[in-house]
Amino acid sequence: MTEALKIAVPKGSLYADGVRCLQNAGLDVRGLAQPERQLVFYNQGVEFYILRPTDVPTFVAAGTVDLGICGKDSLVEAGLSLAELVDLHFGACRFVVALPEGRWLPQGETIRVATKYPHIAAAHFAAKGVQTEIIKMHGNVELAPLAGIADCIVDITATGRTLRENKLSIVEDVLAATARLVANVAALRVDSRVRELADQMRALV
Amino acid sequence: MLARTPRGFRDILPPEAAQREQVVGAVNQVLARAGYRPIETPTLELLPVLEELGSITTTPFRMFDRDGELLTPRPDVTLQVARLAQAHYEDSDLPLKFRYNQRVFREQERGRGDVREFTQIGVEAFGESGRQADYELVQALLSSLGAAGLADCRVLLCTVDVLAAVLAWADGGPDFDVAVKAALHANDFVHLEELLAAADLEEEKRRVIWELPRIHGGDQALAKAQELLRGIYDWKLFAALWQQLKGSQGMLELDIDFSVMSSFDYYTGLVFEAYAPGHPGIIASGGRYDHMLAWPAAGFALYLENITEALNADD
Repeated sequence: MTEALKIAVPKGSLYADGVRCLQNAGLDVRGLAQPERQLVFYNQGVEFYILRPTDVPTFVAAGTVDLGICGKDSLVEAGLSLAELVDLHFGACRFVVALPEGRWLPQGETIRVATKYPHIAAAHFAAKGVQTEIIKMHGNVELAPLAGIADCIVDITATGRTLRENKLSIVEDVLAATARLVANVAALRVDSRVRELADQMRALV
Repeated sequence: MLARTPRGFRDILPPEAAQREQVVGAVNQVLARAGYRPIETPTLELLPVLEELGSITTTPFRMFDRDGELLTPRPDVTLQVARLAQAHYEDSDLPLKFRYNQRVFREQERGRGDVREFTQIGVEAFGESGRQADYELVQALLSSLGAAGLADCRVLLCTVDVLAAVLAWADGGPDFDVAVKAALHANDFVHLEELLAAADLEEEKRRVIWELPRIHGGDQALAKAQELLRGIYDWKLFAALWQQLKGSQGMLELDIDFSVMSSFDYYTGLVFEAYAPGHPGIIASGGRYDHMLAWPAAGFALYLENITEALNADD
């Protein structure tokens, strides 16, 4: 008997659409609708691992799972070697530079940037030749410039509401991201089920 | 002081060391029989010399010695063997066939548990090209994998000059060519799709570039590639090599896979990769690189740590 195909499913805002894509592609997604606290599902021919989207690239690159779904942002931030197979078109969001309304980025100085995404933020400013000091945060990044620990933030936004509510305005776009189907490179090369699933999901989006 | 090792460096204790010795010994025997002679290269190289020969993967250490020379531990052995051959064998009889077992050093990001030191068993052959040379190289790889105990490996073959031919035919301009190669190198099919959608090319050309790296399999894959690239690429050499390999191959599973083109930048012809079922890493890779030196050249390397991991996963 062949081993089950292992797939990482992102919890959080990408979860429902991710499960729908897997179901539409004909996989046995039993139990995924109400995951409760269960993190692993062993179904017919397929195993699902529920992970935070930012951890999906790590599991895929290590080959612990064959395939995974996560945002383009998680891929860029992780910077790991894996195969990006399909743009699933859901979970659209943008990365932006934002700072308190009425303020500007200091010119010619090192800019202090607060973010949950140090790689994305550093790469963005490095490409423009701007020197930065990155302040890695784990949440409520909006607070950093208001409290004075940073000049600006690099964060993700879908509607821009949280930023507006904290009196921050967007000054630059960094990256637009949607959900992606990704695969371990070895799995893509040797397991035809990976290719077939990718083709099916590409045809459906 | 805590008796720890640097990040990404580790002790190898008797059970694993014994297994490594056994694998290395068995593979060396096979390669010696195939006419490869042993060489050893220095641990440190002059960084500017290596950079002259080819692009270098990021090295974890760069240092100045007292003479003010910029040094690096070897990130790769192929470039060293190329340097060595130029220095010592410029006017000698060809072919030159070398084999080596060496540690190499590569930078890895913190927090991922990746090693920064690993071991390659490899060969380089200079001064031969053509179907017979390619055939012997793949045979040496297959026998090495067999000797290592990985008789269930899958070896994927393709040739990179197919991509060069397709890009020349599509005529999308140098920027487009570079971008397509980079997307394939990164296995980024989403970006490839975006590039093709944005390119000012006829539908037929887009279709060929999209389909080619997705071709995978045995005889049918070759037939499909030949059909797709009719009049664009001369398949004679690759098809003959495939027939010859298929006729002689033992227990190892051999396939054609045009996504393997992705992983190489300095290769000029045949390229290949080997994977072990159930192991997420690459077991071996190699190919032909005729433009680096004055002679045609080809070689491969086996990744010892991945081999022992795959062997132990079988149990």
